[in-house]
Amino acid sequence: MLLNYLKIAFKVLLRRKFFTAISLFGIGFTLTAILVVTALADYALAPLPPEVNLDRTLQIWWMVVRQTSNGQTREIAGSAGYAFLDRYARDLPGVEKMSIASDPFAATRYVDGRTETWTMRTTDGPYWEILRFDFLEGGAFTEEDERNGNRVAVISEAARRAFFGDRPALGGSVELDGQRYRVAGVVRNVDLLRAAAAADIWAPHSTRKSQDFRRFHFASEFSALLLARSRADFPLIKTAFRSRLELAKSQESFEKLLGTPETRLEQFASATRRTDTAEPPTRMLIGQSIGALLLFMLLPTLNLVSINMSRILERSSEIGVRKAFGASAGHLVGQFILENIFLCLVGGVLALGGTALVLHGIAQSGLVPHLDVHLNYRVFLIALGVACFFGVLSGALPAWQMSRLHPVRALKGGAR
Amino acid sequence: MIRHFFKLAWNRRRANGFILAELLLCFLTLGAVLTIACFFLHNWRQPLGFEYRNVWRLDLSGGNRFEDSDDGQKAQGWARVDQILRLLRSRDEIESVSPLYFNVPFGASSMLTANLVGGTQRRVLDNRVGPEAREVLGLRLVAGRWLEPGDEALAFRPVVLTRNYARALYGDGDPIGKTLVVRNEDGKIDKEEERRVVGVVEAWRQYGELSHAPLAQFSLPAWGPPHLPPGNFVLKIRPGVSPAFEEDLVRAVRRIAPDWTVSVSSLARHRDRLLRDRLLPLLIMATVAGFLILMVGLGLTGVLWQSITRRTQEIGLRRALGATPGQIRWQILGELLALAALAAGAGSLIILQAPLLGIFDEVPLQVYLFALTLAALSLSLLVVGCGLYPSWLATRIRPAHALQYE
Amino acid sequence: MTGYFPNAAGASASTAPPAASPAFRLEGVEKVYRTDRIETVALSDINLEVRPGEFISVMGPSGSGKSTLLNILGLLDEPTGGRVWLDGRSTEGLPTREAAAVRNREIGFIFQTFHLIHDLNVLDNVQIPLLYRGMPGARRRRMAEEALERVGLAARRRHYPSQLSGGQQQRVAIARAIVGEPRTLLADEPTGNLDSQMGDEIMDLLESFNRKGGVTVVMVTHNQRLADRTGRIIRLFDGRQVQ
Repeated sequence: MLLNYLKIAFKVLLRRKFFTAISLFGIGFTLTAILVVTALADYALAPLPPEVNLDRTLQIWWMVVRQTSNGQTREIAGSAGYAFLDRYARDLPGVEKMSIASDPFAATRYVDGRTETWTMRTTDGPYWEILRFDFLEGGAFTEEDERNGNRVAVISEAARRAFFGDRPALGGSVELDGQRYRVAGVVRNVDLLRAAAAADIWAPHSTRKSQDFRRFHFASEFSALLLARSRADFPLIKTAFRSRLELAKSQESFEKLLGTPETRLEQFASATRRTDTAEPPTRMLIGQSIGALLLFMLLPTLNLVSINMSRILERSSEIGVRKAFGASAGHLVGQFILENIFLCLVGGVLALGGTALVLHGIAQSGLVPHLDVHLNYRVFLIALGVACFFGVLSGALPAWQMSRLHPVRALKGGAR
Repeated sequence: MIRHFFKLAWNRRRANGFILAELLLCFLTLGAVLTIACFFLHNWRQPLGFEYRNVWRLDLSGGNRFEDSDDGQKAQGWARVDQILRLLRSRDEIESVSPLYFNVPFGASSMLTANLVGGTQRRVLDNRVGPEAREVLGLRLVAGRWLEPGDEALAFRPVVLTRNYARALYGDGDPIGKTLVVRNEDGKIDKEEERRVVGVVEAWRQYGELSHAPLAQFSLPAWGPPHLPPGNFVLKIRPGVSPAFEEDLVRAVRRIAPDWTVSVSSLARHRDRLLRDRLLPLLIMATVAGFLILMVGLGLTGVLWQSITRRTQEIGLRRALGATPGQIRWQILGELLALAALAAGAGSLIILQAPLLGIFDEVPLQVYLFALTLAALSLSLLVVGCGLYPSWLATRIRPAHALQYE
Repeated sequence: MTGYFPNAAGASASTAPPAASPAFRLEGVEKVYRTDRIETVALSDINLEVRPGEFISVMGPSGSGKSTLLNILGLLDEPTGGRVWLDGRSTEGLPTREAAAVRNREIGFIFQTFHLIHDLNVLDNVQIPLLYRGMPGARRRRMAEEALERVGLAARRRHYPSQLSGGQQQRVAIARAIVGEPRTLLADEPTGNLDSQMGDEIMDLLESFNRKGGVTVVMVTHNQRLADRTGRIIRLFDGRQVQ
C-alpha cells in the first residue's frame, strides 16, 4: 500500500522537473547548513579524546571579584587565579580528581632569525589522569618532576615536526621563551575544540619563570578541572563551591565574589553571561539556538509552501475529478503530505552528502587546526527528523487548502 | 501606471502573501549584513589617530598587575624598568620609546574610567603614557599642546582628550584650559585631583579600523614607587631593521629581568589578527545571507512562472485592450517591484527601530540609511532578475489564444 | 448623447452609408493553423465589407470560425492569406506596437465571459484602456465615470466584480470597451452567459451606442432573435461564408 503511494509520489515529482529541482535544491542547502552546524556543535560538546571524561568533568575558568581598598573600588572579571583555585576548589565533595592548569599562552621561539609562536600551557600531575592523551613517544611528567622543578615538556606531533623534523624527539631539547626544556613525551595533535586539552606544548607549573602566580587570587589565567564521581554529583559540587565562596566573601570583605564549576555546554553559555550572576544562561543559549534554527528554516519553508500552493492549484482539476469520484479529503491530503515528505527525505539524503563534503572542506582548510569531525548517527537522526519536520510543515497549509477545494469549481480550473 | 501596480499588488496581498514574507525576510537579512558592512566601511574611512607601521610593543609581566606586590618587589620592579628604558633608548634601531599602561593599540586589555556624558554613563579609555608617546605613535594634535616632561610639577594634572570626547563634553566651545569634571552614574562629582584639559588629539582608535572610535584621555602616569610600574611599552623602530633584532632585543631585556615574561611583537601583526577576528563573523553572515537570497531567487522564479500561467487570460485581455508586449513585460516587473518596495518599506521600519530605541548607538543614522538604500536596490535587482524569464514568457502569450482558452 | 463620439460619423445605421472609406474590408482572407502534422483551416476565402456605423451579426455553428474572424478584425490575429483594410489603411505587416495602439484607440472588445480583472474595482477596470494611452489620472477617472454613467452603473464604481451580477459585469465590460471612444465595437457572444432579460438589456445598450453614437458594431451570436435586431447577418460554415 505504502509502496503504491511512494511510486505515485515519485512519478508526480518527476512530471514537474523544474519545481522538484528547486524544492530539492532549497531543502538540500538548508539541511546541509543545519547539519554542518549541528555536527560542529556535537563535535565541540562530545567527550572525544583526550577529553574522554568530559561527561563527568566540570571546569572553573572564570571569576568576578569586587573589592574596595585605599578608597578605590575595583571590579575585575576574567580568568581565575591559581591561589583562588588552590584555596577554594580543592577537596570538594563528590570530586574524584582535581587539576589546576593554566590557560594557553603564546611561547616564542627564535630560529634562523625567524619568530615562531607556539601555544603552551603549564599543568600539574593530575591533569594527565583526568585527560587521556595519545602518546606517540614517552609519557607525561609527574608530581615528582613538579616538585623537583625539572624543566621537562610534552610536545605535540606538529611541534615535533617543527623542532626535530623526522627524528624522534624523546630526550631532545627545545628552547622556548628563553628557557630550555627536555622532551618527556610526544602526543597526537589536539584540535582547538578540545578546550581543556588544546595546546602544542605542556610543561609543569614549576618551570614558570616567576612562581609568583601561586600567590595571586585573581586575573592570572588558570582554570580547574574537576573530575566528578558521576554526573549525579554535579549539583553537590556546585553548591559546595558556592558556599565556600559565600564564606570567603564575608570573611575577607569582598563586595562580590563569583565563580562556578561548569559543564562544557555551560561554558559556551557563560561567554555571554553578565558579571552580576554566577548562573550560566544555558537555557537562554539553547532557546536562542532553537530560535535561530527556526528563523533560518523559515525562508526555505515559505518557499516550499508557495511552490506547493502553486502545485496544488495546477492539479486542481485532477483533484476535482478525484473528489467527484468519491475520494475523501483525508485520502488526498495524506497522499500530498506523503509526496512532500518523500521529497524532503530525498533532499535530506542529498544534504547528508553535502554536509560530508563541507565538513571535509573545513577540516582541509585549516581554519580550525587538527579538526577531525565526521558524521555520526546522532547527526543522521537529526537530519531525518528535520527533513520530516520540513515535509509536514510545508505540506500542511497547502494540503488544508486542497481539502477545501469545491469539486465543481476545481473542475472549472482554479479555486477562487 | 505606478499606482495601478501598487493597487494590484496590494489587492492581491493574500495570494502574494508568501512572496511578500520571503521578500521581507530577504530584505531584513540584506539590511543587517549591509548595515554591518557599511558600518565597517564608515569606520575604515575615519582616521585611526595613530601610526602603527614600524611600531612594536614590549610586554613585561612579572608579578600581577592588580594585586599588591610588596614594597620590596615594587622597588625592584622600578629599578628594572629604569634599566630597560635606558637600554631601549640606547639602541640605534629604536627611534623613540614610551611606557604605556595596558591600553596598547589593537590589544585586548584596557584601562577604563567612566564619565557622565550627554546624560549617559560612558566608558572612557584612561591612557597613562609618557610624553614621548606622541612621537612614537604619531598622534595628531588638533588643539592646544601635548603632555610635557615638566608637567608633574604643575598644581593640576594636565589631560589631553580625543576630539570626540572633547566635543561630547564641551560641544563646539574651546576645551583648552577647562577643568575636566568626572561624574559617576548618580551625577556626583568624583573628587580626585584637579584635571585640566591642555590639548586635543584627533582620535584614538584603539580597537582598530573596523570599530567605532572610543572616548579617550591621556595623562602622565604617576612615576616611581609606591605606584605600579608600567607593564607595556611602545617602540618606534627605524625602518629597514634586520629581523634578528627582535630576538636580540628580547634577550637583552631578559638579562635585566630573568624571571619576568618578556614578549615583543609588532602592532601590525596584532592589527592583522584583530581585523581577521572582526571580519570573520561578517563573512559568515554574508555567506548565510547569500544562501538565503539564492533560495528566495529560485523560489520566486518558480512561483512567478506559475502565476503567469494562471494569469494568461488577464494578459490576453490587456493585449486586446491595447497593451504592447513591452508594456506587459513592464507590468509584470512593475508589480514585482511594487512588492519589493512594500517589503523594503516594512523591513526598513523594522530595522530603523534599532537607532530609534538606542540599541547599537555607535552606528550613526546615516550608515543605516545608506545601508537600507543599498539593500532596497539589491532587492529590486534580485526581483527584476527573477522576473525576467517569467515576464518574457508573458510577452509570448498570444492574445487570441489566451482569450479563447477556457 | 449625440456628441459623445465626436470622431464617429454621427449618422445612424439606417441611413445610406456616406461616401467615406469602409470601416473594414476583407479580401480573400484565410486563416490556417499549422502544427507538426495537422493543418486546421479556420477561415477560407472571406470577402467582406463593413460600412461605418453598421451593426452586423456573425452567425454559425461551433467551429465555424466566427471568433477567428472577430480576432482578425480586431488585429488580435493575422490572416495567413488575403488582406485586411481598416479605415482604408492596409494592416499588412503592421508592427505589433502600432497594432496595439490602433486596438487601443479605435476598437473596443466585449467578451462572452466578461474578462474583468477580479482584483480591481469597477472604476479601475474601466480605466485600463486609458492607462495604455498614458492619460493622466484625473482625466482617466473622469472619463471612466462618464462611461459608467452611460451604462447606468455609476453607483457601483467602488464595487468588485464578484459583487455584481452577470448582467452588471457585462455592462462594466461595455463601459470599458467604450471609455476610449473607439470607432468600432467587436462583441464575441456578449449575451452568451446571461439570461434573456439581461441579454435584451445588453442589446439595448449596444443599439443605443450604434444609433446615437454612430459606432460600428460587429457581434458574434448564437441567438437568432437578437441577430434579427441587427442590420445585416453574415453566416459562416466551416470557415466559409454562406447565405
